[in-house]
Amino acid sequence: MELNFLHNFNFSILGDKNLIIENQRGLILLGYPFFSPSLLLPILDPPEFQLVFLKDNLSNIAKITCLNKISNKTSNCLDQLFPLDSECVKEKQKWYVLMACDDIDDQGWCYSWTFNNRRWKSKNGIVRRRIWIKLPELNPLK
Amino acid sequence: MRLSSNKLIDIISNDEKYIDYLTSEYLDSGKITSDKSNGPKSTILIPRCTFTAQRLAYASAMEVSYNSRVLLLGGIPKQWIDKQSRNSISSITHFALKKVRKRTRLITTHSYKCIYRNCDKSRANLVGKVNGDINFDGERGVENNYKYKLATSSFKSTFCGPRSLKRNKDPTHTALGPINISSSSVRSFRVSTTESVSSAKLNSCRETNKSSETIDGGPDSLPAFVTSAYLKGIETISKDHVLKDSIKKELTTPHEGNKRHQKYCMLLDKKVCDKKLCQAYFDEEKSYSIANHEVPYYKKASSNILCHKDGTYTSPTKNDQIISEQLVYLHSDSKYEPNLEKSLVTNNPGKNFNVLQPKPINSDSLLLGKLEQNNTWDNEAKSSYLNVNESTKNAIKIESHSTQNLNKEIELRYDPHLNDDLILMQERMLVLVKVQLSHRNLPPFFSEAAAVDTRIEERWKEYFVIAYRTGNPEKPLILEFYSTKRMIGGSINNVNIKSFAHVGGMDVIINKKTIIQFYNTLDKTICIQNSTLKENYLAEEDIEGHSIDFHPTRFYILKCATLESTYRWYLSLKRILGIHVTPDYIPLSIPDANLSVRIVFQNDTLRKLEKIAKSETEFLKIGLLSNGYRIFPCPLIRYFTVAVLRILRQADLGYQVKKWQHPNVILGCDLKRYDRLEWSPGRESGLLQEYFALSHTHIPELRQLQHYAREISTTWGILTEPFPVEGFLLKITNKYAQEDLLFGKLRVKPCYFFTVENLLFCTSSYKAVPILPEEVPIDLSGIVTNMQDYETILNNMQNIFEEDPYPLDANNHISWLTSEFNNDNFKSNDLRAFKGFNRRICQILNSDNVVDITKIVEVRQGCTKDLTKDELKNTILSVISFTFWGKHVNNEEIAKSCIYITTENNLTMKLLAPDPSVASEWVQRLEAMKKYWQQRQGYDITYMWDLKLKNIDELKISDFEESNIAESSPKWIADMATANTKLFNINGLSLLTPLMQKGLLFLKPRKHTVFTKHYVILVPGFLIVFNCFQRSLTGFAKKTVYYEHSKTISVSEAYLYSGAITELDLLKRGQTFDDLNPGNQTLSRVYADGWRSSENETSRCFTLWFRCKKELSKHLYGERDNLFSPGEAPCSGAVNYDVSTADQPQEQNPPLKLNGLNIKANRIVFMARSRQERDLWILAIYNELERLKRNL
Repeated sequence: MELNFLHNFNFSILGDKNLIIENQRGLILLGYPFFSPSLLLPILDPPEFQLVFLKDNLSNIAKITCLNKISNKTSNCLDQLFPLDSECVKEKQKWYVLMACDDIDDQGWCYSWTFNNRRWKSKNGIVRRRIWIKLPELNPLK
Repeated sequence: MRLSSNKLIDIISNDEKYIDYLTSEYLDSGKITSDKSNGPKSTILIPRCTFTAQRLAYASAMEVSYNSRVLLLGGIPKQWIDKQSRNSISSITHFALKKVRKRTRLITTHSYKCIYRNCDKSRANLVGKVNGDINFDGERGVENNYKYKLATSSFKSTFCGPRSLKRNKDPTHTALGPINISSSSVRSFRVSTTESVSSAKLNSCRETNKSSETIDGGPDSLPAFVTSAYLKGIETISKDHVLKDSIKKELTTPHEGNKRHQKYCMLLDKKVCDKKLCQAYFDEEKSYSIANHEVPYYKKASSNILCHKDGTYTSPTKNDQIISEQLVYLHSDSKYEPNLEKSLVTNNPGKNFNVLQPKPINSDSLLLGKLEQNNTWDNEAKSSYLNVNESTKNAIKIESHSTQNLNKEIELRYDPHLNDDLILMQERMLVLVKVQLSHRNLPPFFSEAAAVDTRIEERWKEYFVIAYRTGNPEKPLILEFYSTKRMIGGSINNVNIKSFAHVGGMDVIINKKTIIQFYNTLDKTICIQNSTLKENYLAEEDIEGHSIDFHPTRFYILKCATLESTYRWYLSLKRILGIHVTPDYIPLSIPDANLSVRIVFQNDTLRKLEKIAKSETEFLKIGLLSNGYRIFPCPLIRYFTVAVLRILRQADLGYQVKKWQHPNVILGCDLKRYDRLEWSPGRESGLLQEYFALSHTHIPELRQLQHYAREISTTWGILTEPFPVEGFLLKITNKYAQEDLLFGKLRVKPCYFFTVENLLFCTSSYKAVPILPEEVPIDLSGIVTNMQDYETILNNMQNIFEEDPYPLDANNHISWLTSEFNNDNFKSNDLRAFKGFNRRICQILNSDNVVDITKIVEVRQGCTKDLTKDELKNTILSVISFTFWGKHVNNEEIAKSCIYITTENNLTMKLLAPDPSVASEWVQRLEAMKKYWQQRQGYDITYMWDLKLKNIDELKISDFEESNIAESSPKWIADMATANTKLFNINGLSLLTPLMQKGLLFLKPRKHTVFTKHYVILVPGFLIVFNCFQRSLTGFAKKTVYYEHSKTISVSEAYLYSGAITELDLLKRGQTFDDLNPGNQTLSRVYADGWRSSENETSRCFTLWFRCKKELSKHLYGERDNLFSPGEAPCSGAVNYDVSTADQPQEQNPPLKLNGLNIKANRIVFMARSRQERDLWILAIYNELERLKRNL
């Protein structure tokens, strides 16, 4: 089902990078977002964070496989655990929200009625998700 | 190195010398070493208030010419001509397009006024000077017709201020002056004598600078007026009794009682009056001037001027003279004209003389009592004041004021609500009030970055703010806030009237403890930090449990409508605090040479520059070179240029600025803050004051003006921007790219397509006004006035017709702007260029949708293969084409005439051209545009990204710090950063293209909603918002070919603010702990084009605040009769003064209304992608606001 979501994004700039999908459930009232990962339904909904391992180039989305079973505890130390590639570890990296989608809100969230939906929009929904991507940090002291 | 300023001024005042100096190696000895191959042929003067002059002041002739060319493809269709010429059809469309016509008329009047209104004004003043030179009679009729409609239908803020005196703008006042002492000034004087003391009280009914100048044919200079010309005049007065009599008669002239006149009071000892001027007292007419120099003045009197009981004075120190000279310069400043008190006492041993101190605004018993009680005043100062008071009382008696009148005057002066003389400034503005919450010590400079716990006491609200002079040195100024539309003012005895509108609890007393600085230097909000509380709200409230002894400091944040008024208020308030606001030197940075030059202003340099500037107010000087032009910028910039060149050449560094010698290079000054360049449109002469106001954060720079580039160099060569194209086409698909509707019904809509930069706009053909030949007469909106006579011309137009209002000759000169300059020819050509430009703006305003050309994947022409698919459809299309165009085409040609535009989302829009050749032309040109603009967009992003990386690398700061550069950023970071003129170009100022800014923005129309993405463009006067998505009932976006028009926002009456203060309009969200970026509240984002940044929300946002249209129209229309006097057109943004006279106190303060205040306001919050883009948007809107409000 993540494939449906990822179809909305333009991955041309990314190259071979690893992604995390962040999921939340809730609603928007009077402009305030009342969304939380703790509202995710245990069996029906995916966990708060999902890792997307890439076998090949990201532009070929058909080869993406998803790992759904990541607990929230694990996600807290993602910065140290992931990615395990030694080359990437050498360079200090930082997580960025991917904004490469047309219909997206200002914080990178896409909204829908269910996580299994193919169509996503920039407002009004009861579930939302966004993509984080790890890129080399813009560090002047490198 | 000290350089002679006189030499520099000599160079800039001589046109040939100036051009020679720029283009050659001009040595100090005066010899010119290089040849004069490209020297000036001649210099021509064109009226500054014309469209061409506005453009040429910022852009070269080539840029102006290339950016004005537009192509019409396919000619004019028969149906459009029929619509214009046949009454039956035009009457039908007349009703259908009522809204369109109204909008077109509005924008036309708007644009016309912005450019030509000044011309009309100045023409009224320059009857003798430029009569016949500038004559727009043909268009003035249009303007006058629109005047009232515009003022009533748009969001005009016409209102009447609480002070109801008509300003002295009647030129007859100057004519009344019996003695014209100075040859260069029109002033009148009153002289009165006593038994022992010959005193001359000179009351000058001074006209505004412009009028007095123009009538006399030359600017006046105040020091000359003070030191020589007026003295000579006084000598003449003392010798000539006949003149004295005439002056006495003058005392009885009606305008004597007019308190708004500028008054120069002099009391001269008869014995020494023929020697030197002892004292002059200035009380400027300008309402924003200062009288509160009294504070430093009295102190100065106590320390420097020895005042004896017998009324004699000895010399002041040298410092006084220096200060006086500086003040004199300020006085002659046309923009920030202060109200000054000047004391010039010359050392003349053995000669004693009486001096009348400043006119006794506070010469009453109340102040005297306060003076005696005040221990802070030393005896000397007291004695000087008492002496002065005695003298002035004498003077008042001499002036034959009755005691009753005097008492009344004193009473009036101490009731600021009843005397107009005491109003220093008045203007409507947004006000926000914050109150300190804790006892913690305040930082020395409170700004948006200051860590002070505050709560908001008054949210953003529009007030009419009046700055009253009290005459009390302890509290020289009071700011009062008026909030409602109800009646205020009235008679003296009616005490309660003022309480309706006056918000008493908000009054601010400005004194020495008050701190005034900018709250935010981007949007220039002024912050007044005031700890002095008025008695009526003196810590009555207990804030959050603090003791009653805690007097919280209040922060008044004022947001003026324009930058000009912001600077005026800021500098005037600073002057109140006794701060000298014109710097003696300026550290000018030269990025081209990578060095900084310190330019010191000696003696009267600034005054001389001001004099030259005044002489060039009406005309733009253009030097004709053998190739191209040399535009003369304002004298201050010319002075900087010559001074910098001289310094660099003396240091053998002249080669670094070699490119300044090129003919079409125009130099300008800007203020740089980090990577942001703030140009000063039309305020170049006020640059020094701006620098003073922003010296803590900004650095001034001298740079070459740069435009949005028309060329890009790629690996395969140089790409030049294609000329924009326009033309009628039949649109066969709808927004979802569906060709067939229900039951196979064809959907064909005649449309007018036109490109502006990278946007392909589409509007209905009935609303369109195409490019027309020069012979066809059109009005300002581009509509043909007499179609019947020109049908044959329109029918026989070529397939490709080019509009080129600025044709260039071989020497890169505009063909009608050469040495054979003809004023009539210039006038007609300039107006034609304006009409062409204005027509394009009207088309954009009337456009229904827009296609982003950079999102186009493919543009192709139809072929015969398409014919086989559906021959019946082509047959129908050929019939439709014949109906529309009046030309027969067969099915095969119809197939070849189709244009297919495929966008990124795989939708194809199908258009039908009149014939295959036109279709081919459209395809070729759109393809070229697609190629160019896709590259251009990539380059723009690259410039911004490279600049960001360069600053990060050079300054060794992190991405987070770079993204959130704000008020708290250290100055060394801001100064050392690099800026790029390619990004912060001056396209918006020069009006080269109709689009001033464009791009994707998130916006929310009210606070409690979410941001939605829109495509926004800024055209002169308006923000036009297009919807990016077409949504279904469930809210999911549908694929569409183009963006549809959503709303048009007039920015002319809006306020703009940004930075931390926009937090009030934002909702707190995303405050949970961020697991992925611990310790960081910002959201790091990466976009599809590779841009990365980590701004706070407030660093990306800006807010447009404007009054609700419905509410405003209700207030204005409902009380129109009360607002405007018969025959008087309302003027926007200014106070309407009713007629009143000094002898009728009840009419002096008639009931007035502050309309439009305290009504519902709309706030639209915009969020840009990055801080850099937000800065670009804010500066573009500010420049446009400035242009609109300066001229409307």
